[in-house]
Amino acid sequence: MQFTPDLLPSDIVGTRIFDQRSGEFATSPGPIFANVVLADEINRAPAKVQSALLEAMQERQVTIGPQSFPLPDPFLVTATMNPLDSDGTYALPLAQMDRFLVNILVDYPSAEEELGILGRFGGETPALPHDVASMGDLVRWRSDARAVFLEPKIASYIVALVHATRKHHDYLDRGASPRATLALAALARARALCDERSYVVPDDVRAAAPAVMRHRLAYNYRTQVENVDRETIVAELIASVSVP
Amino acid sequence: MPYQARAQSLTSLHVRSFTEAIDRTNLRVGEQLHLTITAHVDERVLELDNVTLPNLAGFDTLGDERRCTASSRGSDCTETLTLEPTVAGDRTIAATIMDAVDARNGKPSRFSTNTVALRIASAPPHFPTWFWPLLWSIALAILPLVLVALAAWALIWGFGRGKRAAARAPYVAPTPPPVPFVDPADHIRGLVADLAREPTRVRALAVRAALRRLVGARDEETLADLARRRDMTDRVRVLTALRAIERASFCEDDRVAHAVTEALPSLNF
Repeated sequence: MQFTPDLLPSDIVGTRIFDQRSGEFATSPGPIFANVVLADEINRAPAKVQSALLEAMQERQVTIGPQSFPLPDPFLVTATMNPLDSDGTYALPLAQMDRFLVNILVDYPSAEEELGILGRFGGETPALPHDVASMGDLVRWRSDARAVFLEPKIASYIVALVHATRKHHDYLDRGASPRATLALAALARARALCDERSYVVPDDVRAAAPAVMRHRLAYNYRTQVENVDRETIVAELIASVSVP
Repeated sequence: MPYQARAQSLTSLHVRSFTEAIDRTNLRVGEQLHLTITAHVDERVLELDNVTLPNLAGFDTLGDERRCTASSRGSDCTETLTLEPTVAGDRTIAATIMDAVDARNGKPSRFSTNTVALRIASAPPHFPTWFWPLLWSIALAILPLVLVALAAWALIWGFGRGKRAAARAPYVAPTPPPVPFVDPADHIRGLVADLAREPTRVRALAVRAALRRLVGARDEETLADLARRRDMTDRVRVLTALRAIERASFCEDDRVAHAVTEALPSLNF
């Protein structure tokens, strides 16, 4: 979905249409009823459209008129934002940002990567990738990740990391929410699974922490005025907590 | 500068700083202080509109001076209020508010300064004009008595101190018992022996902690951080041992014993 300033919530979640033949309202589901939703340039849509995703992302359901409809499982929302161009955009509220598991920064590609891009897109239209996993595989991997063992000391380390963001800080108004704790544990488990381990080690938590934290912190005006790098703030907060 | 702002009439500004400060944090009722509100904006402005001063109840406002200096780098605006507190106690002057369109995102925004805290003591008591001369004459009258009492006390104290000093033996600090030097490798060998005898998570964590101390790991450093360190390239054995013991330290409860058995060969120092 391309998010634009003229988008309406019903363009995403769906709407009720009056059927002249039956004389009744019928529900027409929107494009959000998919397993993977890509909200391209999400901050170009106004707040009410962004808010249409709140229920979907947290409750995994959509309410159209008087009825609630469950979304397909698995359900994943990915979104993009261009941090370099903020003209004509609507900043996402913290409650919306909090619903995203991770915030991944995509920098310029390296020279080798750019050569690869040139190779793929320089000539004819590249072939579509083949299926690499079924929906069943995804569901099974998710279940396997949830079964990864989290030793209590590692769990305490996760909580300590999130709590470190809530202490008084010169550049923060508010720290991360309990969703950050859950997200950090989930992501550390997933990383352990990818590394073919059935248990989490401190490195799993540390590796996931920046992506889980950076969009959940409420940076204050001093960060902008003094031009402080947000990544440095996150890195310092993470480094302030002892590894178990 | 206090006005109620309407969104349509707001000025578009790049606000770089907006602060308030006082020149005295401890003073008495009746004394004066200056509250200075400063703002730096990128635009060239003659004055700042839509600024709401904090509630200054408990202060008499004796003066209010505003100034804006524009340059190629923007404008520096200052408002200095001369205040006189009328009530004693710990006070906090609330933030000054400025409504403007934030030029960075084009949205109507509310900027606020920091708050400032100060302590106001009561005014000094007011005495009648005859009080100080009377006090001075009383002090002069009792001064000889005080001097005699001090001399007598000094004599008595000096005599007693001399006797005590003669009686007391000189202080000799006890010699601390010698601390035996323990080779770190020996210490780890001992911990590994304990782990082999009793393959538990607690023992595994003790060996891991000792190994981390051996390589000088900082509290916030993970195994991956240690592996990236340049000084670890010639300490592959310790890294291998750390990897093995990390598994025993954090794996599932029913797999700890097996993980310890697998780790023991690499812990052979």
